[in-house]
Amino acid sequence: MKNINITVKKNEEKVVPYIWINGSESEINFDAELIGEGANLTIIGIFIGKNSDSVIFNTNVIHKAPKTKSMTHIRGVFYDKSIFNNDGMVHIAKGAKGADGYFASKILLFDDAKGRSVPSLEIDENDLKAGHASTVGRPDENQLFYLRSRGLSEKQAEKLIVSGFFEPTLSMLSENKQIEIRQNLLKNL
Amino acid sequence: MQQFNTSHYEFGFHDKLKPVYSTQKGLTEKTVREISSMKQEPEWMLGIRLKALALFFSKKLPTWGGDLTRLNFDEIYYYVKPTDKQGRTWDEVPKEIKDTFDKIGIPQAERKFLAGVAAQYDSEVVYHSISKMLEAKGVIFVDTDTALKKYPDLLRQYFGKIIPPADNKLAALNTAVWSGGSCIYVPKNVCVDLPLQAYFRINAKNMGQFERTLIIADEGSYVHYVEGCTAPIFTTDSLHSAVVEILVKKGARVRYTTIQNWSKNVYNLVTKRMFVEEEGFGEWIDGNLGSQLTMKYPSVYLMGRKARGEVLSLAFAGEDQHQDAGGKAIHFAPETSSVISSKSVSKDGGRTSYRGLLKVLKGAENSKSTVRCDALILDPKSRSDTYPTMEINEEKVTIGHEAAVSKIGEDQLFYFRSRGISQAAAEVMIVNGFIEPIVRELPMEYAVELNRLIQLEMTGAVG
Repeated sequence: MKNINITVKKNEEKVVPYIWINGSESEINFDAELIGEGANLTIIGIFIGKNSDSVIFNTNVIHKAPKTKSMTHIRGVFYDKSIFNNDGMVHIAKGAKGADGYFASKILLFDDAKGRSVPSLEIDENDLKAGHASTVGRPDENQLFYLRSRGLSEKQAEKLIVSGFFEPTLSMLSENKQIEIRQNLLKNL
Repeated sequence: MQQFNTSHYEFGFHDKLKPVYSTQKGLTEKTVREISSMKQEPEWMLGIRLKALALFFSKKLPTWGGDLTRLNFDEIYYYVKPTDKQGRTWDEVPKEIKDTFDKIGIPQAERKFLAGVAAQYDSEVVYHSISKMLEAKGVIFVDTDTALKKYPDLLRQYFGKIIPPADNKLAALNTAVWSGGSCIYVPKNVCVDLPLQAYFRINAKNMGQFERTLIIADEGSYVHYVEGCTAPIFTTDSLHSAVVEILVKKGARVRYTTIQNWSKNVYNLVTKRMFVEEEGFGEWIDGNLGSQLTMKYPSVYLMGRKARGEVLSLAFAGEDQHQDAGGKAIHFAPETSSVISSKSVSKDGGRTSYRGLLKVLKGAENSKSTVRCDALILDPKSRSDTYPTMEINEEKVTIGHEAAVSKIGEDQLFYFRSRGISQAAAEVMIVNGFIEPIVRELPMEYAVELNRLIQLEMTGAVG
């Protein structure tokens, strides 16, 4: 089990990526507190599960100060018999006026993979914006069909779509990090 | 904003009606035997009740959701029977009860016009009329006690099959002490054009209400059932714990609409579940305004290919209220689809929680589901939570969940105010607009009533 504690202070901006490809950690807990006014946190989670991988990824983001902003982006692709468990809590405490908390997870499942997602919100303040969105599914049939009509095999088309699937989250990271992760992804798809 | 005076409760009147018979406070095996013998039930039903009672004692109350620690099961009357016999015609219904209906405001014309009015007063349905049209179509629409006498085979076949007593502590409680509720059977390919309605209210101090509703829609049929309730104010806590079981057979469609406006001391803990077979369509429309604590998650179990389920949930929590509501959809079969939409409003320190479950079992290929919850928080004292769970065990699915929480938009308010509309009036309009997608699914008179209630909650006055 791995615990990651993050504290974001006044006007501080943090981007915390967590990449799980061929990983060994089976449970990761992120606890983040935004304690100073104007604190800004972005959590990025990228996951590729295969075989009998089983991952628990929990994020718990607490907004304690006014005008704090948090974004959690999770993208995961799971093959074979892999299992993904994801609890995402965004808590806006009393007094965190003008806070903005968002949680998004997108999961692609293949084969016998299983996914469980609980994106929760606890809101004690009324001057705020908070939301979450989660999707679970497989690659869009129309996209697959389009690529196949251009002569790609089903496997190739899938691979292309999956690598594109991670792009929006990757673009939030630094250039070097992006290159590193892309290479890692290509090897593992 | 104009403050809402909480002691003002429009339906907070209390008739002096003397119960003909009621059990002692508290729950023992003796109570259950008494209820069963009072109702002259067959032995097998007593057996079910006693088994359920044992389950009730063995199970624990849920620790999640609302605060149930103040709920005292020993302070509740489990059975109260208001009149000796069932009113067959309107003239036979006792005057006090008619007065109550006048106060609730069932229009005169509606009483005659509606296909059937089952009015539950205390634990038993006292007035029940079935129009000739329904009888001619072979539709059964009676209270569940009568159904047990007249159609024992139907009950034997379906009672407790969709929600077994072992499901949860409160379902066990209801099974042990149930009384009243509606029993509906719609034969094959019969379409019931008018919504079937049941008005009921709790009307004896400290009394629990445990109605049991069973709806069977046979292949290709359609029925819309509407329940709406208002209750008088009591000083001590009351419990309402109903069980609603619905079976939607192949190609049938059932819509179940609830407007719940219990007075603010009632615990409203209800289990509702629908089994939907092949190509069937089941819908829950659930509006929760009253009670101190509501825990209710209407569920659709999509059992057959191409079954569809929909849950529309609306919650409004004012001072000292907690609405823990939501919906569940479980996909067992391929090509099934479900939609859950929830809208909640919290105000004056009220708390709303959306709690939901979406589950897709392996083999339910090409299933689709969309869950959408929106919450409005009107002041800094109030609270809103969202706890959705999604468990997906099948790869060929399309699942989406979205939630958003916000206050009333400054720009929206500004727009209204720039047009000369007061802040209070603007807030009412914005809240009404926010819940409109659910309100428009209600029958007209309920939509009117609901808008009126929201307005009352928001400003303390109608008009």
